[in-house]
Amino acid sequence: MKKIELLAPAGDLERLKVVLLYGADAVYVGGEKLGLRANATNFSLDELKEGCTFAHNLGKRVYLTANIVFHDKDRIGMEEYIKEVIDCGIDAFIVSDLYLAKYIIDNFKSVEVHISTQDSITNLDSAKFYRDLGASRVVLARELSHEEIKEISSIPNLETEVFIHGAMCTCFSGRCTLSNYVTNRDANRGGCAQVCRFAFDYDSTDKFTLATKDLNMAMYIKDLIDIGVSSLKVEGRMRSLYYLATVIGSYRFLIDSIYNGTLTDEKLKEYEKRLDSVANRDTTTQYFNHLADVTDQYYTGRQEVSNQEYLGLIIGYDENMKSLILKERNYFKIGDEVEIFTPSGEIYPYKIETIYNEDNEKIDVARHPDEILKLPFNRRLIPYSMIRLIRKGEKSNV
Amino acid sequence: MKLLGVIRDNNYLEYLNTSLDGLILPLENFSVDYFNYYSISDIREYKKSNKLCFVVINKMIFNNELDDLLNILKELENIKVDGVFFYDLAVLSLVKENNLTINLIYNGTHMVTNSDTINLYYDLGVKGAYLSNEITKDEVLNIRHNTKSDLFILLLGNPVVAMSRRSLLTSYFANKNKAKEDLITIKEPKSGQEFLVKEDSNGTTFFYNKRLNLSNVYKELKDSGVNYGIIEQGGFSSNQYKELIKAFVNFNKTKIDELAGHNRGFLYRETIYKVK
Repeated sequence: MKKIELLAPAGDLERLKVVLLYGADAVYVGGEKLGLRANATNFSLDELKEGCTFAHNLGKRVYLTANIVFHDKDRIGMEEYIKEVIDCGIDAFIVSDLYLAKYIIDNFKSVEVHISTQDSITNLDSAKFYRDLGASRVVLARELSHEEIKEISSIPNLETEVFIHGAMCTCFSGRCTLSNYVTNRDANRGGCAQVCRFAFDYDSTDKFTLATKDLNMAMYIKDLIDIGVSSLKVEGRMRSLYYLATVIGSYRFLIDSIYNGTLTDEKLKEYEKRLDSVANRDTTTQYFNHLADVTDQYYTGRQEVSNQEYLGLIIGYDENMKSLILKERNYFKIGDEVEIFTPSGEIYPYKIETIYNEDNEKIDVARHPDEILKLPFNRRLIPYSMIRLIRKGEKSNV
Repeated sequence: MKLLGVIRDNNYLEYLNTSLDGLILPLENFSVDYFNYYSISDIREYKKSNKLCFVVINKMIFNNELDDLLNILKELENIKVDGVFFYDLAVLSLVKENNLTINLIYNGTHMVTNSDTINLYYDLGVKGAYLSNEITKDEVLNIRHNTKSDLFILLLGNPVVAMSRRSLLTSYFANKNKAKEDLITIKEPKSGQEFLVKEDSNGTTFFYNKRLNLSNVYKELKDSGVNYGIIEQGGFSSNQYKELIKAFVNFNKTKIDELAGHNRGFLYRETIYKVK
């Protein structure tokens, strides 16, 4: 049986490299046209080519989002663009529009077509419709239960992809234009202003909110493997490197541990805690066990909390000083207890006793984001290793 | 252009005597985004008239509803309704698989925005399309020019803005320990835009609280060949609504605007999606 795929988001080339190094099997990215994150960085053709080469060298795959609900004028140049991105080496398109899906299926046999969650596929018959059209995979609606996912995943010759982590839409994907009506930004062409996170006036004493908590399916990964899902998708093309590294690294660990039979309850709890530590909202499992209810929503205007445990990105090693070179991300100081973690899953507990600045002068406090600093360490680490703060009372995960 | 009504008050048969060419009847348990829903027997009753009868099945369908959906479609075939508006592709699949003779109209709410997709549906046997409210007049005319499909457009009514499977009002009032309401009005403070929020057993719908009124392009749309215009009763009383229908039939723009206001929606306002 084919091992389940871990599919990660990447808003740019650096994120693509990070998520693949941290264990994603495939990555989804937006190009310069037709994607639903028009305001993300998105990939130029050259970046796409480089990203595909990087992924393929690791035996991994790249999917391109082309899931806007297009208007007639968006059609201009569509065919050329499709051809150009295929030439860059992408493995699949994630498509919402039926015309575009059929156009790619009929004309380009070298790429797969995955049907976007934008189409809110909620039942066997609509999933089969797309299979019969020639799509190889459907991204299921986020409104489905365990049983419903299981039934659709039993369809022969059709892969299912399921969201496991990240922000949720309040409404059915594709059935929301709040952004159009409030901000004139087209939700279904990549301009979504996330109006569902706004607070609305309702009566003189209170605000009405409709924002949902985020999704976290860590405790049900085994169930999703058992019911035949093909791909586990993480949301968040615009998230930070640290967030992506932690989330993808954690799910990689969980999936591998399930397959090799080594996942213990204790480890699962540890990794759930680790995932919670990088979330900036509360998380739930949403529709998986019951219809989303009062516990899955927010009732206050502001939901995000800032997260400052990401201290630095390791960018090199100073052999003379036997020190890691890092780019600072958040404040830290002498005496802080931290963890250094690597894309290959190693975690080193570390107490900060000495900090050098770029001129090799000792300093007590790191307070300038992006400053280049050095920390004594006895060995070189692979690129994109990172440092996180261990909060008081929290144990290192090793 | 034929005129179709959507009735909000209970006595839908009362409108048989108006100049409407027919009604759109949202089917109970299988449709969302409306204020009134109709049973199969209501539809059968209405179909005894010689008016056009279109039925809406536009909810997301779940696996446990597929069998019932097929039975419903068979009944609608027997009743010989003039068309079924659908959102979920399960409807198209079931109609084709079972060789049902039903005229289907693609009702993708916000997704019916371009000529190619409408033409593809046409080739798949879907001979009608209910255009999205979020496209411009030029886009409507362009689609008309480029497609063979029967086109339906909302001429007057509160546009549907969003639909969720969540029981958002139940959750909200439970959290606040207040008595639940099924219909409320909310306002986005910065833009001043208001929405009606309505919950029923299939979830929660957001409607724009400014009535859309396309009276200013009615003639142009009619002359271009848009086949059906939809006039929703909304909050109008029975008498006002009948006046409004009359004003469309005899085309009295002043009267329509006097009753329905001047919100032209996105007719001249293209939505943006790349913010520089």
